[in-house]
Amino acid sequence: MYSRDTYSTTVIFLCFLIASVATLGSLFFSEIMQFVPCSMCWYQRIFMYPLVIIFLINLLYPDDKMFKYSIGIVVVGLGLAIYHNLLMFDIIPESVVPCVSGVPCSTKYINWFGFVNIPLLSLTAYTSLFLLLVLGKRK
Amino acid sequence: MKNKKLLLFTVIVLAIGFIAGINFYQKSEDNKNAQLTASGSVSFVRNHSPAFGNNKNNVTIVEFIDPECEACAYFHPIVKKVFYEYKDEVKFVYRYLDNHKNSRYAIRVLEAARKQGKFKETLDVMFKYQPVWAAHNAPKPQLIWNYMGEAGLDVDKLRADFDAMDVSDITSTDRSDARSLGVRGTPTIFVNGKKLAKLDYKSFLDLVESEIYK
Repeated sequence: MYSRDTYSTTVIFLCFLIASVATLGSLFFSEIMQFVPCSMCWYQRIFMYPLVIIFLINLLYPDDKMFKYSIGIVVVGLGLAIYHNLLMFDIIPESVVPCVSGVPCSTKYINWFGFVNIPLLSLTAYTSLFLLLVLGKRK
Repeated sequence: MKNKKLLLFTVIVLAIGFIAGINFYQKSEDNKNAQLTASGSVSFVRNHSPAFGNNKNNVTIVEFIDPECEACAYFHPIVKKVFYEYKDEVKFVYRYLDNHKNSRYAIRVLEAARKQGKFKETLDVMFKYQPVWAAHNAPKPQLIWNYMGEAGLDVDKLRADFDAMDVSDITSTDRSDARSLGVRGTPTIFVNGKKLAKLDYKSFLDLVESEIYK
């Protein structure tokens, strides 16, 4: 049995929690509240959903390769989330959005406290995962 | 192992939280709809809406449709079956929600056909040939015209009515009512303001009958 020498169980557990909440939250928005996800949202989902399983497997069967398994997925997702947020806050113009599914990617479905929208939630999730994986390593 | 128990516990808490969230959200939506309807600020039925049936039992069925929507075409025979069973007891109202590229074109044809009193026949034909005129990779709404004779329409008159027809008021009113009622997709069906939760024959029939025989 491998020892988990790269991360503490707590770090992986937090990652698992973040990925699960992001996954269930996005499903709640689309399936229950019936917000139609734009294509950017789909790409971010594609990179978030498998993380739940990857972190879960590592919690059940610990090894020391977690960084290698997950960082690639997290970085791509983070990149997409940053891009989507630049779009939402009008830093990149809408016309360059690769949207085909009818819903423009700058559509704002929710607005909590005046600034929290769905892409910002995604960015928060990916950023916390990235920081946990990069800074959470044992010395 | 202690950690595995904690993990299992977390997964269960997440699942319960998710399900509780669904229940909470759906209850609050139902309340909102009931209030909206009671306050009269939103209408299930407008004067411009195509309506059928003799409505002896004061039961209003409202269906939001989109002629280019595949689920609508699929559900259409079920709707017809229930309607013909209870056409004396209920009033059936169609509302539009033009979610596709050529929906409005098709709605214009439907509204033009209404002038000849052939709304239902035209809708039948439109749904029947939907795979042809609304093919995914290359929708060709003009193909609708090839089939309009089948609906028993005077096609020349239909064409003239179509050219003169402007449906933008109807579609925008229907869309804003849909938004207020939380309708985002088609088909969405309400029976006396109660939303049909599951789109199948039995659920629809049960809901209609529960309103008729209450």
